[in-house]
Amino acid sequence: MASPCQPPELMADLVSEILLRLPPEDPACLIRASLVCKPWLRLISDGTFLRRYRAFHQTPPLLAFLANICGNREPRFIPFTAPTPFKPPAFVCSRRPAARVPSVWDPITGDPQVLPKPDCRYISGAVVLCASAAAGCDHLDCHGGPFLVVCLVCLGISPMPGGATDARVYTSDAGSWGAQASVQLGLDSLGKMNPPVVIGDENSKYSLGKDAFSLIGPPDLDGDSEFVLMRTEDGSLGLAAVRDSNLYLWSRKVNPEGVAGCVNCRVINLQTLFSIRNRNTTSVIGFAEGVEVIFMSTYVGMFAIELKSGKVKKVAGPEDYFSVLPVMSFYTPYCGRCNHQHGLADL
Amino acid sequence: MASPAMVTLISSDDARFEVTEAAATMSQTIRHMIEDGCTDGGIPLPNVPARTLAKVLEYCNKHAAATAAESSAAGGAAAGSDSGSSSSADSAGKDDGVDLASFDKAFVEVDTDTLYDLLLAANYLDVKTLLDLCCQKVADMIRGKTPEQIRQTFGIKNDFSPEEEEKIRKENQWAFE
Repeated sequence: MASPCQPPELMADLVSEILLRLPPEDPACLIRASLVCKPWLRLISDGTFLRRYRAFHQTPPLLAFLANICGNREPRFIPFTAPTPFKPPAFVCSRRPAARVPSVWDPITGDPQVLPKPDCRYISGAVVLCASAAAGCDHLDCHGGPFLVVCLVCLGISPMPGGATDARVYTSDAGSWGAQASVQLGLDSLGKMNPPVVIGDENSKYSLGKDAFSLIGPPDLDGDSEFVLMRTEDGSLGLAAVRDSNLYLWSRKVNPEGVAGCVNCRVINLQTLFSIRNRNTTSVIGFAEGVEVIFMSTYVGMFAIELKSGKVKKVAGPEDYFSVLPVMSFYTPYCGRCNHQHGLADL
Repeated sequence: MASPAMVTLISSDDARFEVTEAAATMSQTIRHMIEDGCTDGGIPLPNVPARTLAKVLEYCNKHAAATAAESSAAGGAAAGSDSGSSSSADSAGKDDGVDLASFDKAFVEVDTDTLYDLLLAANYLDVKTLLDLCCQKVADMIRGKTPEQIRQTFGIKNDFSPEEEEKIRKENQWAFE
């Protein structure tokens, strides 16, 4: 038997307080709640509520990720939540692998956007940024807004040791490629490529405000480890790499003399997290900012490690993955509306 | 040490509760009434029955006492900072935090009617942390439920036509699998 019904007018202002607390990392529960009754549907599809929802939770959840596989193979789109709003077969990410036309794809709306070709032969890495970041955007309400694409490009056919790497910046407002910057790679810097912005054992950092490149001296670590850029707990630039069954995290600090260097801030013993016998095949391939998740590729599959809780989750089978691009966004009934013929708010 | 200031609260069914001012003023509504000098002969709370008020006050007493213990621990640590007593004060503070978290968790392990009453009372009395706690509990209860189960649990009438319901389900099939 149902509980006695409370007068709706008493509950109305409390309903939004309750629904505000539904977890964004389980996007299905807001959708299910919208089907309870019309007042709940109206509330959940209301822009003001959704802005409050994003502001309340602050950090967008990790909904899925794109895993790049070595050898010119199609990247895999892998959902991180269950159930997931994404249907992998619907997303064809590299329909034209040979054509090399850069395109930006929004997994939430499904909208692909083909960009004009930059004046280069080879794009070695790219990253999409919010165009309003410099104006202090909190990225809670900028989904689908103006964006920038920063590409690392090589003017030759492929990156050459000792060659130059250039950066190109695309602005969606102008619809064209603009600012340029260049950096000379060291002779030994070709070892590993790990897009979007890490090259070899010298990591290149592109500064948007200055349209300038700088090379980050990598932490002192034996062997040819691959590094992944990350944001550390204190908000500074960090690096992560694997060596001898340990995951090392560094934070980039400036010493009193004004010299920047990497300070080791954490070492995580991977053997306590999952048993790996063949440690040579373990590498760190991605980082999801905000939720603090590190992606690692091992010979038994890909794992996601939550740095805060130490929780480990196997997210994909074994493949030769070389990078992971996390899809982090609030998935609310409103945001997928471009995909639907009729908005929920019609009712 | 002087005994703490006490106030009398009167529930909707005329039950009287004597509580410390520190506990009572966790409610912003009561705090404003005290500030306005409306305390003579007790503070009437016409929207809150005795059963619910007793429960709310259990929460306020526990939290007000924890806050008092925390501030005196902090004061004690500052006074004896050269003797290493600060570490014991720190660990006492941490224990309180764990204790309070488990108190909160157990506090909202109640039936839906009681939770509803607490929610309404916390909203009327404006006890922010209790309102947060109750709202989070209800959200947790909603999380794994189907729309029909949510309606049943909270006594909500389905005002969608079958066609409307079918349309939303179809558009968001993934969320109902």
